[in-house]
Amino acid sequence: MADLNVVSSEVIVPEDSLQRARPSAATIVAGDLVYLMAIGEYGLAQCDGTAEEAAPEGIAAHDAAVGQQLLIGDAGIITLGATASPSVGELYVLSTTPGKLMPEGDLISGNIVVFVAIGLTSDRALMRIVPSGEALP
Amino acid sequence: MANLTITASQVQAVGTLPQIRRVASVSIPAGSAVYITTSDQWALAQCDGTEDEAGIQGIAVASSATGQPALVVPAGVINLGAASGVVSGAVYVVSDTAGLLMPTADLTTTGWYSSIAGIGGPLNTFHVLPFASGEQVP
Repeated sequence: MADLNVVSSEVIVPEDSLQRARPSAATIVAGDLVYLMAIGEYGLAQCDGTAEEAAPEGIAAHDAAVGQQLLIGDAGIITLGATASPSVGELYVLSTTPGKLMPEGDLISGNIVVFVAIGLTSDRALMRIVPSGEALP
Repeated sequence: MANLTITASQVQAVGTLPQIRRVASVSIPAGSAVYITTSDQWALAQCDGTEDEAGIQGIAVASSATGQPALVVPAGVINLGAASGVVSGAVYVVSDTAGLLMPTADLTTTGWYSSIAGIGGPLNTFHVLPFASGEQVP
């Protein structure tokens, strides 16, 4: 399979899950998974980098250029959009592509397993981010 | 003159500023002047609509699509970027183009609302000082 094709303008993160804004260390678009860097800024998470990069704090709620403040959400029903079209019941995990989600079946040996969401409808998913810290053998 | 040509990715808050979060009722690029709708959401301000639409509350400092949260600076210094053409010492008002800013000299049409957005500073900085006068050009 492949990463979900999330279109940033179609993403709606649950309002009640929003965390306080922090600066973006990279260009980040709505729907990207981000981790908290040691410098207190958000960077793009990925499952095949460092342990820090594979510990996302949440999903970006809007677009932000480098240095701009970014709000993220970390739980609840997220609209990923009709373009992303998540499959109902499918488990989605942090991808090897920075910021993206992929089906659990795309994990390969050495990837750190980070559960992100389960598909609910053709455009929404139930988000619950669980960074396991464990690599697939 | 003309509207400032703000590039959303170049807009930055200078230092730590208070930022107000509301849902965007329309697509709002960073650098846009915004007002609060009757449904308590951010929308793009403009001087040639209603008095409410001219009621600038601040400038967006990140980009948001419709329904997404948007962060707005109600006061303080931001940087509008090198592309903006902001002039130090010039006073800027809400434009007749939704969300944009223009010099006061462009406020020439009868009926347009005079809503001050702020004052240009050096090195593309901008002092956000929103003041929606509610007064119209005679």
